[in-house]
Amino acid sequence: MGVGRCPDPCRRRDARILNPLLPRLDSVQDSGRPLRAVTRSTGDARHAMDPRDDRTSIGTRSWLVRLLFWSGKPTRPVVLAILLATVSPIALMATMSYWKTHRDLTDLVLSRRQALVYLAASTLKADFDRLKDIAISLATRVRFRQLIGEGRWDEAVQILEAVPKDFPFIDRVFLADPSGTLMADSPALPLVRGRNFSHRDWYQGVLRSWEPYVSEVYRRAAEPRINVFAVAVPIRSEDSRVVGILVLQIRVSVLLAWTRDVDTGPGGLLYLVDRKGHLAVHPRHDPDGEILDYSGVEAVRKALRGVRRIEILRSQEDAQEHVYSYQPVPGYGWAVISAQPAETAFATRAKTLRNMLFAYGLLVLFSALLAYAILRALIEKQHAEDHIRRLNEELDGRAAELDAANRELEAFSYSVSHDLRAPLRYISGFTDLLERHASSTLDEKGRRYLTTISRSAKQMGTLIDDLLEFSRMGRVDMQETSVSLSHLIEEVRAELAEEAGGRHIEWKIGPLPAVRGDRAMLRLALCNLISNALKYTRPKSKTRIEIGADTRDSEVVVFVRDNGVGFESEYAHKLFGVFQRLHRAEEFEGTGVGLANVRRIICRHGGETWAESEPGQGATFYFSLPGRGDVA
Amino acid sequence: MKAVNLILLAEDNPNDVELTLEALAEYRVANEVVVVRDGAEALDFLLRRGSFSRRPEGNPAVVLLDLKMPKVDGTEVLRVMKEDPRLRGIPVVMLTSSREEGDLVRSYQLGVNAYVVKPVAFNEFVQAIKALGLFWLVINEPPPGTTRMTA
Repeated sequence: MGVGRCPDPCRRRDARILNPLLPRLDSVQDSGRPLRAVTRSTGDARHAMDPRDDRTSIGTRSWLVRLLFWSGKPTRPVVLAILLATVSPIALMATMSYWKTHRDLTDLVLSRRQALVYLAASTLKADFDRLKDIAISLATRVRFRQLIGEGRWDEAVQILEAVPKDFPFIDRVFLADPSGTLMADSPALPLVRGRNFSHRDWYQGVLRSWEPYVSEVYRRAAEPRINVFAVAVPIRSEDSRVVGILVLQIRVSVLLAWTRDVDTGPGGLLYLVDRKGHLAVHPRHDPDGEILDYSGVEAVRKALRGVRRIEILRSQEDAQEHVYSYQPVPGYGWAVISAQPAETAFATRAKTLRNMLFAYGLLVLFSALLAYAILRALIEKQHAEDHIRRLNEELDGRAAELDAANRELEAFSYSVSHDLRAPLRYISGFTDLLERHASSTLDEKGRRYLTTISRSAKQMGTLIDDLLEFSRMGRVDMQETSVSLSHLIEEVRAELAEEAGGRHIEWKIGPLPAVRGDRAMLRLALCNLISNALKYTRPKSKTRIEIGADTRDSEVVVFVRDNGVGFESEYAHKLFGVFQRLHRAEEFEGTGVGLANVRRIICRHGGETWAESEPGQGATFYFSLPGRGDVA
Repeated sequence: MKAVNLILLAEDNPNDVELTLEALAEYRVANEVVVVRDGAEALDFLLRRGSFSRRPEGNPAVVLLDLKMPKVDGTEVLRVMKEDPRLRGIPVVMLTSSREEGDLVRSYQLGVNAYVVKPVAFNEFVQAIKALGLFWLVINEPPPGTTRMTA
């Protein structure tokens, strides 16, 4: 099947007066449109980005983007500054939080150590008080005082025999006369009775004002020579004269037992010093070993001066920092000192802070990364927008070029229309006149020449008209409406009835949907296809033309099938080109523009055209239109 | 007694003049055809000025205007005619080779009475002129002031 010319109804105007009462309103609208239509001559190009979209998005972009691009391209320092500004509040918050936690945890550790020492000092004071009370209650027994007053030391000490049993922490009780000579002891130890101990601290202490006194630590004279301290109370006669001294001797190891219950924490230790600064109890020291002088230790020195404090000091032993907490035992001149390696004391704090530091570090890092990512995205977006803007500017430029080209084309087609047709008319007109005037004087050959000239001129006129129509189809703006294909086909059939010329035609028209498109254009396309079907079935005795549509998801495919002469499928691709014909003009008349027009119209609607055929088997022409067809 | 109508034909191309006159002659309507060769002359004739200052009074029954003419083109003549109260009533038919819609639209906007695209084939052209003559010179009743010469 070949390409044929559709008898466009507009062309019939040629031979008749266009009555002013019937103006072609659609043409009035067409020609008033701007030429921009050319830039959207293909289906896809219609969706090309409008530069105005871009401007809109720039108008609404955020302050951050404006800040970023205030001086053109964002430089590295600007990006860094924004990053810093974004991250620094978070970092500042994290730092403050860190230091507060640090302080709180330190306070917690320190106050715990303080409490510990306080507890130990209080316990010790209570114990000393208790010992003193025991001593006083023993020394104030009437019978006992009488015996002492009468110098009956052995009898007196017998009363006290039960004391070490009743109070296991009291190792030994002894009695001395006011001059410090040991008179009796229980349990009795050898080689001490009768010896004067006035050099001992317990004697010096109690002698000072004849008040109960807790002595410093010393190594006792009696065997076994263990380290002890003494609680000495004066024994008074009824007339308040000091008649003797009652001394309770307590092993320092007892103190160790007393203080052992205090939890000093990992690596921590708690020790006691007496009023001279001698070590009374130290968990790492043999209680019965040599008595060490700790008065040189700073914490000891301060504590003995009555200072109660917690501080971090360098230990003399291992030259490491320790948390020292110290406190005097009120009323007794002793002191409690606790020490714990700073590292251990603050281990929990350090661990917590480390975790915190890690968490905050991550937070800062992530926020920095996030901020960076957002910045990058914004910059990328801006670059993309810039790119699009540049493309749009180029596109605008090209559109302007196209506009200019289009105007030129229009001027060209105008002059073709006007100036090319005029000489043709003269050829045709004067040939006709010549024929009338001189036909009698011309022979057969001459008359045939004239006919040929006349027919050729007419053919050229048709060709020019078809070309102009084809050009117009590419230029005019489309007036999109809902178009009922059924109605359109009825109209076209009625119009082509004359062309069918009384032939018997079997029409088979399936249900056709309504589509969106330009009515006049679609009408021309259908007109061309149906006209072709009529033309190429002419040699057949029985003509059958079938028209139908297949409505799919995103497109409607319309077909026009005939049982005409068909064409060789290898030339199918040539069908829709301008001036492409598969049949000779003697067989089927036509200019080769009709199907090119169909393709152009369908293409402008965003659809496609194709055809199938076998010679002698008829042909089927298809076109697709995008969009869901509505039921007509 | 038969009414003879005056026709003004404004056409610059002598071939067209000849073909048009030939077609009118074919119709054999007794007419007087005044041929002017451009728009300026057409206006001179209509307004009785210049070389036509001494022509007798009376308007033509129809003006056949070519669109493309030297000096003053067809649309300009049309515009002047439709703006002038004395000439507004004269029927104007555009005779043109152009199928260009811009011309068509402009002519109708200016108030043209008919617009004819000259067919390439001479016999079709004769048919068109015949129809024109029949309508404007016989069927149509011209406005008052139209010259009706008697033959």
